[in-house]
Amino acid sequence: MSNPHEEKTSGMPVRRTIVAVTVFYALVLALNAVALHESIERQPFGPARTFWLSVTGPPAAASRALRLDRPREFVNKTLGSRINH
Amino acid sequence: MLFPTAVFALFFFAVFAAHWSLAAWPRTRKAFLLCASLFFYGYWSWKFALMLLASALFNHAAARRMHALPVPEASKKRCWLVAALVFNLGLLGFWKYTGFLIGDVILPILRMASIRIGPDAVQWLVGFQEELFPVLSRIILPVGISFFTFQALSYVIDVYRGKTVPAASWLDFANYLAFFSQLVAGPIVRAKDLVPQMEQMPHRASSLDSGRAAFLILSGLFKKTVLANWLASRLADPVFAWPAAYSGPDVLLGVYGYAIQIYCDFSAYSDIAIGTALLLGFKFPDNFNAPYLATSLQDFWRRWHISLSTWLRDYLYIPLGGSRRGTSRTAVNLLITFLLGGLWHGAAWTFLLWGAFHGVYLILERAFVTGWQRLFGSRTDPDSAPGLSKVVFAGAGRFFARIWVFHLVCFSWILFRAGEVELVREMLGAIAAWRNAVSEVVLWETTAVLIVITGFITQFFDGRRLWRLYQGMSRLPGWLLGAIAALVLTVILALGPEGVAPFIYFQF
Repeated sequence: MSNPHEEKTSGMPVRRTIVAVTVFYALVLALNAVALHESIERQPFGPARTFWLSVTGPPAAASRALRLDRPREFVNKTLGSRINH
Repeated sequence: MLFPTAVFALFFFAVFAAHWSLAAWPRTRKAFLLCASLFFYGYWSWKFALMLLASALFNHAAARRMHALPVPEASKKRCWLVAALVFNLGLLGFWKYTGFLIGDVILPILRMASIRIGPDAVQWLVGFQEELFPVLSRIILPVGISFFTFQALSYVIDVYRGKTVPAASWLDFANYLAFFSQLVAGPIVRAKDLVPQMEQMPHRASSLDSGRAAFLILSGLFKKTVLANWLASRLADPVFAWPAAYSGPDVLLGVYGYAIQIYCDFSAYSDIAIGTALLLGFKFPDNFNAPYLATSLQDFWRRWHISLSTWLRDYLYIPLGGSRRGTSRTAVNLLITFLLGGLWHGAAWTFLLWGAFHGVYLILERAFVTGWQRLFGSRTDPDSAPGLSKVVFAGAGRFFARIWVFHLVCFSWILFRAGEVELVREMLGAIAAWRNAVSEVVLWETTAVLIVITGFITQFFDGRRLWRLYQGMSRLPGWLLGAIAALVLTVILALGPEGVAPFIYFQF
Protein backbone atom coordinates (compact mmCIF):
# COMPACT_ATOMS: atom_id res chain seq x y z
CA MET A 1 0.00 0.00 0.00
CA SER A 2 2.84 2.36 0.66
CA ASN A 3 4.23 2.27 -2.82
CA PRO A 4 6.38 5.18 -3.93
CA HIS A 5 4.50 5.42 -7.22
CA GLU A 6 1.11 5.59 -5.56
CA GLU A 7 1.26 9.31 -5.00
CA LYS A 8 2.19 9.89 -8.62
CA THR A 9 -0.90 8.06 -9.94
CA SER A 10 -3.47 10.65 -10.92
CA GLY A 11 -7.01 9.47 -10.38
CA MET A 12 -10.21 9.73 -12.36
CA PRO A 13 -13.18 11.58 -10.85
CA VAL A 14 -16.04 9.35 -9.73
CA ARG A 15 -18.42 10.92 -12.24
CA ARG A 16 -16.06 10.11 -15.14
CA THR A 17 -15.62 6.57 -13.79
CA ILE A 18 -19.40 6.11 -13.76
CA VAL A 19 -19.51 7.19 -17.43
CA ALA A 20 -16.67 4.76 -18.21
CA VAL A 21 -18.39 1.85 -16.47
CA THR A 22 -21.76 2.61 -18.10
CA VAL A 23 -20.25 2.82 -21.60
CA PHE A 24 -18.25 -0.33 -20.89
CA TYR A 25 -21.33 -2.35 -19.89
CA ALA A 26 -23.43 -1.02 -22.78
CA LEU A 27 -20.75 -1.86 -25.34
CA VAL A 28 -19.90 -5.24 -23.83
CA LEU A 29 -23.59 -6.15 -24.03
CA ALA A 30 -23.87 -4.89 -27.60
CA LEU A 31 -20.77 -6.76 -28.76
CA ASN A 32 -21.40 -9.99 -26.87
CA ALA A 33 -25.20 -10.30 -26.62
CA VAL A 34 -25.41 -12.95 -29.36
CA ALA A 35 -22.71 -15.13 -27.79
CA LEU A 36 -24.33 -14.71 -24.39
CA HIS A 37 -27.73 -15.65 -25.76
CA GLU A 38 -26.27 -18.72 -27.46
CA SER A 39 -24.52 -19.84 -24.28
CA ILE A 40 -27.80 -19.56 -22.36
CA GLU A 41 -29.48 -21.65 -25.05
CA ARG A 42 -27.04 -24.43 -24.20
CA GLN A 43 -28.03 -24.37 -20.51
CA PRO A 44 -30.33 -27.08 -19.10
CA PHE A 45 -34.05 -26.43 -19.48
CA GLY A 46 -35.76 -24.67 -16.60
CA PRO A 47 -37.30 -21.39 -15.44
CA ALA A 48 -33.87 -19.70 -15.07
CA ARG A 49 -33.00 -20.51 -18.69
CA THR A 50 -36.37 -19.28 -19.93
CA PHE A 51 -36.01 -16.05 -17.95
CA TRP A 52 -32.48 -15.28 -19.14
CA LEU A 53 -33.37 -16.13 -22.73
CA SER A 54 -36.19 -13.58 -22.60
CA VAL A 55 -33.80 -11.01 -21.11
CA THR A 56 -30.97 -11.52 -23.59
CA GLY A 57 -33.21 -12.11 -26.61
CA PRO A 58 -33.89 -8.45 -27.59
CA PRO A 59 -30.27 -7.23 -27.18
CA ALA A 60 -29.07 -10.29 -29.11
CA ALA A 61 -31.53 -9.56 -31.94
CA ALA A 62 -30.47 -5.89 -32.04
CA SER A 63 -26.79 -6.85 -31.94
CA ARG A 64 -27.29 -9.29 -34.81
CA ALA A 65 -29.27 -6.76 -36.86
CA LEU A 66 -26.57 -4.11 -36.40
CA ARG A 67 -23.83 -6.69 -37.03
CA LEU A 68 -22.23 -5.87 -33.72
CA ASP A 69 -21.54 -9.54 -33.12
CA ARG A 70 -19.05 -9.56 -36.00
CA PRO A 71 -15.91 -8.38 -34.12
CA ARG A 72 -16.19 -11.21 -31.60
CA GLU A 73 -16.97 -13.70 -34.32
CA PHE A 74 -13.98 -12.50 -36.34
CA VAL A 75 -11.55 -12.83 -33.40
CA ASN A 76 -13.05 -16.18 -32.49
CA LYS A 77 -12.65 -17.54 -36.03
CA THR A 78 -9.17 -16.18 -36.65
CA LEU A 79 -7.58 -16.76 -33.24
CA GLY A 80 -9.92 -18.23 -30.63
CA SER A 81 -10.85 -21.38 -32.51
CA ARG A 82 -7.21 -21.92 -33.47
CA ILE A 83 -6.14 -21.76 -29.81
CA ASN A 84 -9.02 -23.86 -28.53
CA HIS A 85 -9.34 -26.34 -31.42
CA MET B 1 -20.54 -16.48 -7.90
CA LEU B 2 -17.48 -16.56 -10.14
CA PHE B 3 -15.80 -13.35 -11.30
CA PRO B 4 -15.61 -14.18 -15.02
CA THR B 5 -19.35 -14.82 -15.45
CA ALA B 6 -22.32 -12.81 -16.69
CA VAL B 7 -24.02 -13.22 -13.30
CA PHE B 8 -21.14 -11.51 -11.52
CA ALA B 9 -21.01 -8.79 -14.19
CA LEU B 10 -24.68 -8.05 -13.58
CA PHE B 11 -24.22 -8.18 -9.81
CA PHE B 12 -21.25 -5.83 -9.91
CA PHE B 13 -23.05 -3.32 -12.11
CA ALA B 14 -25.95 -3.18 -9.65
CA VAL B 15 -23.58 -2.81 -6.68
CA PHE B 16 -21.48 -0.16 -8.44
CA ALA B 17 -24.56 1.89 -9.37
CA ALA B 18 -26.14 1.66 -5.92
CA HIS B 19 -22.85 2.23 -4.06
CA TRP B 20 -22.26 5.58 -5.75
CA SER B 21 -25.94 6.56 -5.79
CA LEU B 22 -26.15 6.08 -2.02
CA ALA B 23 -23.05 8.20 -1.31
CA ALA B 24 -25.14 10.83 0.51
CA TRP B 25 -26.53 8.21 2.95
CA PRO B 26 -23.49 6.51 4.48
CA ARG B 27 -25.35 4.18 6.84
CA THR B 28 -27.71 2.95 4.13
CA ARG B 29 -24.72 2.58 1.85
CA LYS B 30 -22.86 0.45 4.39
CA ALA B 31 -25.95 -1.69 4.99
CA PHE B 32 -26.37 -2.11 1.24
CA LEU B 33 -22.74 -3.12 0.78
CA LEU B 34 -23.07 -5.75 3.51
CA CYS B 35 -26.30 -7.09 1.98
CA ALA B 36 -24.57 -7.24 -1.42
CA SER B 37 -21.61 -9.13 0.05
CA LEU B 38 -23.91 -11.58 1.83
CA PHE B 39 -25.90 -12.06 -1.37
CA PHE B 40 -22.61 -12.74 -3.21
CA TYR B 41 -21.64 -15.39 -0.64
CA GLY B 42 -25.18 -16.66 -0.11
CA TYR B 43 -25.59 -17.18 -3.87
CA TRP B 44 -23.45 -20.27 -3.25
CA SER B 45 -24.91 -21.18 0.17
CA TRP B 46 -27.10 -18.96 2.34
CA LYS B 47 -26.35 -21.14 5.40
CA PHE B 48 -22.68 -20.24 5.19
CA ALA B 49 -23.60 -16.59 4.68
CA LEU B 50 -25.29 -16.79 8.09
CA MET B 51 -22.15 -18.37 9.51
CA LEU B 52 -20.12 -15.48 8.12
CA LEU B 53 -22.51 -13.06 9.77
CA ALA B 54 -22.19 -14.92 13.09
CA SER B 55 -18.40 -14.77 12.78
CA ALA B 56 -18.59 -11.01 12.26
CA LEU B 57 -20.82 -10.61 15.32
CA PHE B 58 -18.65 -12.71 17.62
CA ASN B 59 -15.29 -11.32 16.55
CA HIS B 60 -16.43 -7.73 16.79
CA ALA B 61 -17.95 -8.35 20.23
CA ALA B 62 -14.69 -9.96 21.42
CA ALA B 63 -12.63 -7.08 20.03
CA ARG B 64 -14.83 -4.47 21.71
CA ARG B 65 -14.70 -6.30 25.04
CA MET B 66 -10.91 -6.53 24.87
CA HIS B 67 -10.57 -2.88 24.01
CA ALA B 68 -12.98 -1.78 26.76
CA LEU B 69 -11.09 -3.64 29.51
CA PRO B 70 -8.63 -1.50 31.50
CA VAL B 71 -4.92 -2.41 31.51
CA PRO B 72 -4.92 -4.18 34.97
CA GLU B 73 -7.47 -6.67 33.68
CA ALA B 74 -5.01 -8.26 31.29
CA SER B 75 -6.10 -11.78 32.18
CA LYS B 76 -9.72 -11.06 31.18
CA LYS B 77 -8.41 -9.55 27.99
CA ARG B 78 -6.43 -12.71 27.33
CA CYS B 79 -9.55 -14.79 27.99
CA TRP B 80 -11.39 -12.90 25.26
CA LEU B 81 -8.48 -13.39 22.90
CA VAL B 82 -8.38 -17.12 23.64
CA ALA B 83 -12.16 -17.32 23.13
CA ALA B 84 -11.82 -15.59 19.76
CA LEU B 85 -8.92 -17.84 18.74
CA VAL B 86 -10.84 -20.97 19.76
CA PHE B 87 -13.93 -19.75 17.90
CA ASN B 88 -12.10 -18.92 14.66
CA LEU B 89 -9.70 -21.85 14.65
CA GLY B 90 -12.53 -24.16 15.76
CA LEU B 91 -14.64 -23.03 12.84
CA LEU B 92 -11.75 -23.52 10.41
CA GLY B 93 -10.71 -26.78 12.03
CA PHE B 94 -14.19 -28.29 11.95
CA TRP B 95 -15.00 -27.47 8.34
CA LYS B 96 -11.56 -27.96 6.89
CA TYR B 97 -9.72 -30.56 8.89
CA THR B 98 -12.33 -32.94 10.39
CA GLY B 99 -12.31 -35.24 7.36
CA PHE B 100 -8.52 -35.26 7.15
CA LEU B 101 -8.03 -35.80 10.87
CA ILE B 102 -10.47 -38.69 11.04
CA GLY B 103 -9.97 -40.22 7.59
CA ASP B 104 -6.20 -39.77 7.17
CA VAL B 105 -4.88 -39.73 10.73
CA ILE B 106 -7.17 -41.43 13.27
CA LEU B 107 -8.67 -44.21 11.12
CA PRO B 108 -5.31 -45.51 9.79
CA ILE B 109 -4.10 -45.74 13.42
CA LEU B 110 -7.30 -47.53 14.44
CA ARG B 111 -6.94 -49.90 11.49
CA MET B 112 -3.44 -50.89 12.54
CA ALA B 113 -4.56 -51.28 16.15
CA SER B 114 -7.63 -53.36 15.24
CA ILE B 115 -5.54 -55.76 13.15
CA ARG B 116 -3.35 -56.37 16.17
CA ILE B 117 -6.32 -56.80 18.52
CA GLY B 118 -8.17 -59.35 16.43
CA PRO B 119 -11.08 -60.07 14.04
CA ASP B 120 -13.75 -58.67 16.38
CA ALA B 121 -12.04 -55.30 16.50
CA VAL B 122 -11.66 -55.28 12.70
CA GLN B 123 -15.36 -56.07 12.29
CA TRP B 124 -16.30 -53.29 14.72
CA LEU B 125 -14.10 -50.84 12.86
CA VAL B 126 -15.62 -51.76 9.49
CA GLY B 127 -19.11 -51.12 10.89
CA PHE B 128 -17.99 -47.89 12.51
CA GLN B 129 -16.48 -46.66 9.23
CA GLU B 130 -19.68 -47.46 7.35
CA GLU B 131 -21.57 -45.20 9.74
CA LEU B 132 -18.91 -42.52 9.83
CA PHE B 133 -18.20 -41.94 6.14
CA PRO B 134 -21.69 -40.67 5.19
CA VAL B 135 -21.45 -38.18 8.09
CA LEU B 136 -17.99 -37.00 6.96
CA SER B 137 -19.14 -36.64 3.37
CA ARG B 138 -21.79 -34.16 4.50
CA ILE B 139 -19.11 -31.74 5.72
CA ILE B 140 -18.68 -29.34 2.81
CA LEU B 141 -15.90 -26.79 3.06
CA PRO B 142 -17.34 -23.26 3.01
CA VAL B 143 -15.72 -21.31 0.17
CA GLY B 144 -13.07 -18.86 1.34
CA ILE B 145 -13.28 -19.85 5.02
CA SER B 146 -9.47 -19.81 5.32
CA PHE B 147 -9.37 -16.26 4.04
CA PHE B 148 -12.05 -14.66 6.15
CA THR B 149 -10.97 -16.60 9.26
CA PHE B 150 -7.44 -15.20 8.89
CA GLN B 151 -8.87 -11.70 8.45
CA ALA B 152 -10.94 -12.12 11.63
CA LEU B 153 -7.90 -13.44 13.51
CA SER B 154 -5.74 -10.52 12.43
CA TYR B 155 -8.45 -8.13 13.68
CA VAL B 156 -8.83 -9.62 17.17
CA ILE B 157 -5.08 -10.13 17.60
CA ASP B 158 -4.30 -6.56 16.51
CA VAL B 159 -6.94 -5.19 18.89
CA TYR B 160 -5.47 -7.34 21.69
CA ARG B 161 -1.97 -6.08 20.93
CA GLY B 162 -3.23 -2.50 20.80
CA LYS B 163 -2.08 -2.13 17.19
CA THR B 164 -5.56 -1.18 16.05
CA VAL B 165 -8.82 -0.14 17.66
CA PRO B 166 -12.13 -1.95 17.16
CA ALA B 167 -14.25 -0.80 14.23
CA ALA B 168 -16.57 2.10 15.01
CA SER B 169 -19.58 -0.12 14.45
CA TRP B 170 -20.40 -3.76 13.84
CA LEU B 171 -21.53 -2.82 10.34
CA ASP B 172 -18.05 -1.51 9.49
CA PHE B 173 -16.40 -4.67 10.77
CA ALA B 174 -18.91 -6.91 8.98
CA ASN B 175 -18.21 -5.02 5.76
CA TYR B 176 -14.47 -5.53 6.31
CA LEU B 177 -14.89 -9.26 6.92
CA ALA B 178 -17.47 -9.99 4.24
CA PHE B 179 -16.50 -7.54 1.48
CA PHE B 180 -17.30 -9.52 -1.67
CA SER B 181 -14.28 -8.44 -3.71
CA GLN B 182 -11.78 -10.37 -1.60
CA LEU B 183 -14.08 -12.62 0.42
CA VAL B 184 -13.44 -15.99 -1.18
CA ALA B 185 -9.82 -15.91 -2.33
CA GLY B 186 -8.10 -12.87 -0.87
CA PRO B 187 -5.99 -10.85 -0.70
CA ILE B 188 -6.08 -11.21 3.10
CA VAL B 189 -6.50 -7.53 3.91
CA ARG B 190 -5.57 -6.38 7.41
CA ALA B 191 -8.14 -4.62 9.56
CA LYS B 192 -5.90 -1.56 9.94
CA ASP B 193 -5.94 -1.15 6.15
CA LEU B 194 -9.59 -1.79 5.33
CA VAL B 195 -11.66 -1.03 8.45
CA PRO B 196 -10.88 2.73 8.31
CA GLN B 197 -11.94 2.72 4.65
CA MET B 198 -15.19 0.98 5.60
CA GLU B 199 -15.79 3.52 8.35
CA GLN B 200 -15.18 6.53 6.14
CA MET B 201 -16.63 5.14 2.90
CA PRO B 202 -15.27 6.66 -0.30
CA HIS B 203 -16.51 10.15 -1.05
CA ARG B 204 -18.08 11.08 -4.39
CA ALA B 205 -15.65 13.99 -4.69
CA SER B 206 -12.65 11.66 -4.41
CA SER B 207 -10.82 10.45 -7.46
CA LEU B 208 -10.52 6.77 -8.31
CA ASP B 209 -7.60 4.85 -9.74
CA SER B 210 -9.88 3.80 -12.60
CA GLY B 211 -7.12 3.26 -15.15
CA ARG B 212 -5.41 0.77 -12.87
CA ALA B 213 -8.76 -0.81 -11.99
CA ALA B 214 -9.63 -1.34 -15.67
CA PHE B 215 -6.19 -2.76 -16.42
CA LEU B 216 -6.25 -5.15 -13.45
CA ILE B 217 -9.76 -6.42 -14.20
CA LEU B 218 -9.00 -6.98 -17.88
CA SER B 219 -5.59 -8.55 -17.32
CA GLY B 220 -7.12 -10.73 -14.60
CA LEU B 221 -9.86 -11.90 -16.95
CA PHE B 222 -7.27 -12.59 -19.65
CA LYS B 223 -5.08 -14.58 -17.28
CA LYS B 224 -8.00 -16.61 -15.98
CA THR B 225 -10.25 -17.19 -18.98
CA VAL B 226 -7.62 -17.49 -21.70
CA LEU B 227 -4.36 -18.62 -20.12
CA ALA B 228 -5.21 -20.49 -16.90
CA ASN B 229 -8.16 -22.34 -18.43
CA TRP B 230 -6.13 -23.39 -21.46
CA LEU B 231 -3.15 -24.50 -19.40
CA ALA B 232 -5.42 -26.47 -17.07
CA SER B 233 -7.38 -28.30 -19.74
CA ARG B 234 -4.54 -28.90 -22.23
CA LEU B 235 -1.45 -29.41 -20.09
CA ALA B 236 -1.75 -29.65 -16.32
CA ASP B 237 -4.95 -31.68 -15.88
CA PRO B 238 -4.15 -34.42 -18.43
CA VAL B 239 -0.55 -34.83 -17.25
CA PHE B 240 -1.44 -34.92 -13.55
CA ALA B 241 -4.35 -37.28 -14.25
CA TRP B 242 -2.18 -39.93 -15.92
CA PRO B 243 1.54 -39.16 -15.95
CA ALA B 244 2.43 -42.71 -17.04
CA ALA B 245 0.84 -42.00 -20.42
CA TYR B 246 3.25 -39.17 -21.19
CA SER B 247 6.94 -38.94 -21.92
CA GLY B 248 9.34 -37.06 -19.62
CA PRO B 249 9.39 -33.87 -21.72
CA ASP B 250 5.57 -33.81 -21.76
CA VAL B 251 5.33 -34.31 -17.99
CA LEU B 252 7.88 -31.54 -17.53
CA LEU B 253 5.80 -29.23 -19.74
CA GLY B 254 2.74 -30.22 -17.70
CA VAL B 255 4.55 -29.14 -14.54
CA TYR B 256 5.64 -25.85 -16.14
CA GLY B 257 2.05 -25.47 -17.34
CA TYR B 258 0.71 -25.96 -13.82
CA ALA B 259 3.22 -23.47 -12.40
CA ILE B 260 2.02 -20.84 -14.86
CA GLN B 261 -1.63 -21.90 -14.47
CA ILE B 262 -1.66 -21.49 -10.70
CA TYR B 263 0.06 -18.12 -11.00
CA CYS B 264 -2.37 -16.91 -13.70
CA ASP B 265 -5.37 -18.31 -11.85
CA PHE B 266 -4.60 -16.98 -8.39
CA SER B 267 -3.07 -13.65 -9.40
CA ALA B 268 -6.07 -13.14 -11.72
CA TYR B 269 -8.41 -13.42 -8.76
CA SER B 270 -6.31 -10.94 -6.77
CA ASP B 271 -6.16 -8.56 -9.73
CA ILE B 272 -9.93 -8.64 -10.28
CA ALA B 273 -10.51 -8.26 -6.52
CA ILE B 274 -8.19 -5.24 -6.34
CA GLY B 275 -9.67 -3.77 -9.54
CA THR B 276 -13.33 -4.09 -8.53
CA ALA B 277 -12.53 -2.70 -5.08
CA LEU B 278 -10.78 0.27 -6.70
CA LEU B 279 -13.89 1.04 -8.75
CA LEU B 280 -15.85 1.19 -5.50
CA GLY B 281 -13.18 3.45 -3.99
CA PHE B 282 -11.40 0.90 -1.76
CA LYS B 283 -7.67 0.18 -1.84
CA PHE B 284 -6.13 -3.24 -1.21
CA PRO B 285 -2.45 -4.10 -0.94
CA ASP B 286 -0.73 -5.93 -3.81
CA ASN B 287 -0.71 -9.71 -3.53
CA PHE B 288 1.85 -10.68 -6.19
CA ASN B 289 5.09 -9.25 -7.44
CA ALA B 290 6.52 -11.34 -10.29
CA PRO B 291 7.12 -14.44 -8.12
CA TYR B 292 8.89 -16.48 -10.78
CA LEU B 293 11.59 -13.84 -11.02
CA ALA B 294 12.65 -14.56 -7.44
CA THR B 295 16.35 -15.21 -6.91
CA SER B 296 15.91 -17.19 -3.70
CA LEU B 297 13.08 -19.08 -2.05
CA GLN B 298 12.96 -16.38 0.62
CA ASP B 299 12.59 -13.85 -2.18
CA PHE B 300 9.84 -16.00 -3.72
CA TRP B 301 7.79 -15.75 -0.52
CA ARG B 302 8.12 -11.99 -0.64
CA ARG B 303 6.53 -12.04 -4.08
CA TRP B 304 3.95 -14.86 -3.95
CA HIS B 305 0.63 -14.48 -2.09
CA ILE B 306 2.17 -11.58 -0.18
CA SER B 307 -0.87 -11.11 2.05
CA LEU B 308 -0.62 -14.72 3.33
CA SER B 309 3.16 -14.76 3.75
CA THR B 310 3.11 -11.48 5.69
CA TRP B 311 0.18 -12.80 7.77
CA LEU B 312 2.12 -15.95 8.67
CA ARG B 313 5.19 -13.83 9.45
CA ASP B 314 3.34 -11.38 11.72
CA TYR B 315 0.96 -13.75 13.51
CA LEU B 316 2.94 -16.99 13.63
CA TYR B 317 6.67 -16.76 12.84
CA ILE B 318 7.43 -13.63 14.88
CA PRO B 319 5.27 -14.62 17.92
CA LEU B 320 7.13 -17.99 17.89
CA GLY B 321 10.34 -16.00 18.31
CA GLY B 322 11.23 -15.39 14.66
CA SER B 323 14.99 -15.31 14.15
CA ARG B 324 15.77 -13.77 17.54
CA ARG B 325 16.39 -16.95 19.52
CA GLY B 326 19.35 -18.59 17.84
CA THR B 327 19.89 -20.70 14.75
CA SER B 328 18.16 -23.92 15.80
CA ARG B 329 15.09 -22.15 17.20
CA THR B 330 14.84 -20.08 14.00
CA ALA B 331 14.91 -23.30 11.99
CA VAL B 332 12.13 -24.81 14.13
CA ASN B 333 10.07 -21.61 13.79
CA LEU B 334 10.49 -21.61 10.02
CA LEU B 335 9.48 -25.25 9.78
CA ILE B 336 6.40 -24.78 11.99
CA THR B 337 5.36 -21.72 9.99
CA PHE B 338 5.64 -23.47 6.66
CA LEU B 339 4.05 -26.72 7.85
CA LEU B 340 1.04 -24.74 9.06
CA GLY B 341 1.18 -22.63 5.89
CA GLY B 342 0.98 -25.86 3.91
CA LEU B 343 -1.94 -27.12 5.99
CA TRP B 344 -3.70 -23.77 5.53
CA HIS B 345 -3.88 -24.58 1.82
CA GLY B 346 -5.57 -27.89 2.32
CA ALA B 347 -6.08 -30.89 4.53
CA ALA B 348 -3.85 -33.46 2.86
CA TRP B 349 -0.44 -35.00 3.44
CA THR B 350 0.81 -33.55 0.16
CA PHE B 351 0.14 -29.99 1.38
CA LEU B 352 2.07 -30.82 4.54
CA LEU B 353 4.90 -32.16 2.40
CA TRP B 354 4.76 -29.02 0.29
CA GLY B 355 5.06 -26.85 3.40
CA ALA B 356 7.85 -29.06 4.76
CA PHE B 357 9.77 -28.78 1.50
CA HIS B 358 9.60 -24.98 1.59
CA GLY B 359 10.43 -24.84 5.29
CA VAL B 360 13.43 -27.19 5.06
CA TYR B 361 14.79 -25.50 1.95
CA LEU B 362 14.48 -22.08 3.60
CA ILE B 363 16.39 -23.37 6.64
CA LEU B 364 19.16 -24.67 4.36
CA GLU B 365 19.17 -21.45 2.34
CA ARG B 366 19.49 -19.44 5.52
CA ALA B 367 22.31 -21.63 6.82
CA PHE B 368 24.09 -21.26 3.48
CA VAL B 369 23.82 -17.46 3.57
CA THR B 370 25.07 -17.34 7.17
CA GLY B 371 27.98 -19.66 6.32
CA TRP B 372 28.87 -17.57 3.28
CA GLN B 373 28.84 -14.43 5.40
CA ARG B 374 31.16 -16.01 7.94
CA LEU B 375 33.55 -17.13 5.21
CA PHE B 376 33.62 -13.94 3.20
CA GLY B 377 32.74 -11.35 5.81
CA SER B 378 29.57 -9.97 4.21
CA ARG B 379 27.26 -8.30 6.71
CA THR B 380 23.96 -8.75 4.95
CA ASP B 381 21.22 -9.83 7.31
CA PRO B 382 19.76 -13.18 6.20
CA ASP B 383 16.31 -11.71 6.80
CA SER B 384 16.86 -8.80 4.43
CA ALA B 385 15.72 -9.04 0.82
CA PRO B 386 16.59 -10.66 -1.42
CA GLY B 387 18.79 -12.83 0.80
CA LEU B 388 20.80 -15.46 -0.97
CA SER B 389 21.19 -13.82 -4.34
CA LYS B 390 22.36 -10.51 -2.91
CA VAL B 391 24.99 -12.18 -0.78
CA VAL B 392 26.20 -14.83 -3.19
CA PHE B 393 25.21 -13.97 -6.71
CA ALA B 394 25.70 -10.98 -8.92
CA GLY B 395 25.06 -10.24 -12.59
CA ALA B 396 24.66 -13.43 -14.63
CA GLY B 397 24.55 -15.43 -11.41
CA ARG B 398 21.16 -13.93 -10.67
CA PHE B 399 19.82 -15.21 -13.95
CA PHE B 400 20.83 -18.76 -13.01
CA ALA B 401 19.50 -18.23 -9.50
CA ARG B 402 16.12 -17.32 -11.01
CA ILE B 403 16.10 -20.47 -13.14
CA TRP B 404 17.07 -22.58 -10.11
CA VAL B 405 14.37 -21.07 -7.87
CA PHE B 406 11.75 -21.39 -10.61
CA HIS B 407 12.50 -25.10 -10.91
CA LEU B 408 12.48 -25.57 -7.15
CA VAL B 409 9.06 -23.97 -7.00
CA CYS B 410 7.90 -26.08 -9.96
CA PHE B 411 9.00 -29.20 -8.09
CA SER B 412 7.08 -28.07 -5.03
CA TRP B 413 3.97 -27.52 -7.19
CA ILE B 414 4.02 -31.24 -7.98
CA LEU B 415 3.54 -31.90 -4.25
CA PHE B 416 0.88 -29.18 -4.12
CA ARG B 417 -1.13 -30.38 -7.11
CA ALA B 418 -0.77 -34.14 -6.82
CA GLY B 419 -3.15 -34.81 -3.93
CA GLU B 420 -1.53 -38.22 -3.33
CA VAL B 421 2.07 -39.13 -2.58
CA GLU B 422 1.87 -41.98 -5.12
CA LEU B 423 1.13 -39.49 -7.89
CA VAL B 424 4.18 -37.41 -6.90
CA ARG B 425 6.30 -40.54 -7.31
CA GLU B 426 4.74 -41.25 -10.74
CA MET B 427 5.32 -37.68 -11.93
CA LEU B 428 8.96 -37.67 -10.84
CA GLY B 429 9.43 -41.18 -12.24
CA ALA B 430 8.08 -40.10 -15.63
CA ILE B 431 10.44 -37.10 -15.74
CA ALA B 432 13.40 -39.22 -14.64
CA ALA B 433 12.65 -41.92 -17.23
CA TRP B 434 12.55 -39.12 -19.83
CA ARG B 435 11.82 -40.97 -23.09
CA ASN B 436 12.49 -44.53 -21.96
CA ALA B 437 8.96 -45.47 -20.85
CA VAL B 438 6.96 -43.39 -23.37
CA SER B 439 9.01 -42.03 -26.24
CA GLU B 440 6.43 -39.94 -28.09
CA VAL B 441 6.38 -36.21 -27.29
CA VAL B 442 2.89 -34.85 -27.98
CA LEU B 443 2.38 -31.73 -25.85
CA TRP B 444 5.28 -29.57 -27.03
CA GLU B 445 3.28 -27.68 -29.65
CA THR B 446 3.79 -24.05 -30.66
CA THR B 447 0.51 -22.96 -29.02
CA ALA B 448 1.40 -24.66 -25.73
CA VAL B 449 4.85 -23.11 -25.58
CA LEU B 450 3.49 -19.68 -26.57
CA ILE B 451 0.81 -19.82 -23.86
CA VAL B 452 3.31 -20.87 -21.19
CA ILE B 453 5.63 -18.02 -22.24
CA THR B 454 2.73 -15.52 -22.36
CA GLY B 455 1.67 -16.58 -18.87
CA PHE B 456 5.23 -16.10 -17.66
CA ILE B 457 5.38 -12.64 -19.22
CA THR B 458 2.16 -11.54 -17.48
CA GLN B 459 4.22 -11.37 -14.27
CA PHE B 460 5.59 -8.09 -15.56
CA PHE B 461 2.10 -6.61 -15.01
CA ASP B 462 2.48 -7.14 -11.25
CA GLY B 463 3.11 -4.41 -8.71
CA ARG B 464 3.29 -0.91 -10.11
CA ARG B 465 5.59 -1.66 -13.04
CA LEU B 466 2.98 -0.23 -15.41
CA TRP B 467 1.99 2.80 -13.36
CA ARG B 468 2.63 5.16 -16.25
CA LEU B 469 0.09 3.19 -18.30
CA TYR B 470 -2.42 3.37 -15.43
CA GLN B 471 -1.88 7.11 -15.24
CA GLY B 472 -2.43 7.48 -18.97
CA MET B 473 -5.59 5.37 -18.84
CA SER B 474 -6.97 7.42 -15.94
CA ARG B 475 -6.47 10.60 -17.98
CA LEU B 476 -8.63 9.33 -20.86
CA PRO B 477 -12.21 10.59 -21.20
CA GLY B 478 -14.58 8.22 -19.38
CA TRP B 479 -16.44 7.11 -22.52
CA LEU B 480 -13.16 6.32 -24.30
CA LEU B 481 -11.78 4.26 -21.41
CA GLY B 482 -15.11 2.38 -21.24
CA ALA B 483 -15.13 1.75 -25.00
CA ILE B 484 -11.53 0.52 -25.12
CA ALA B 485 -12.12 -1.75 -22.12
CA ALA B 486 -15.26 -3.18 -23.77
CA LEU B 487 -13.36 -3.95 -26.99
CA VAL B 488 -10.50 -5.58 -25.10
CA LEU B 489 -12.93 -7.69 -23.07
CA THR B 490 -14.69 -8.80 -26.25
CA VAL B 491 -11.35 -10.00 -27.64
CA ILE B 492 -10.60 -11.83 -24.37
CA LEU B 493 -14.01 -13.52 -24.40
CA ALA B 494 -13.53 -14.53 -28.04
CA LEU B 495 -10.13 -16.05 -27.25
CA GLY B 496 -11.25 -18.01 -24.20
CA PRO B 497 -12.98 -21.38 -24.25
CA GLU B 498 -16.65 -21.66 -23.32
CA GLY B 499 -17.30 -22.06 -19.60
CA VAL B 500 -15.01 -21.07 -16.78
CA ALA B 501 -13.51 -23.42 -14.20
CA PRO B 502 -13.59 -22.23 -10.57
CA PHE B 503 -10.47 -20.52 -9.24
CA ILE B 504 -7.95 -22.94 -7.71
CA TYR B 505 -7.80 -21.00 -4.46
CA PHE B 506 -11.57 -21.30 -3.92
CA GLN B 507 -10.92 -24.71 -2.37
CA PHE B 508 -8.68 -23.19 0.28
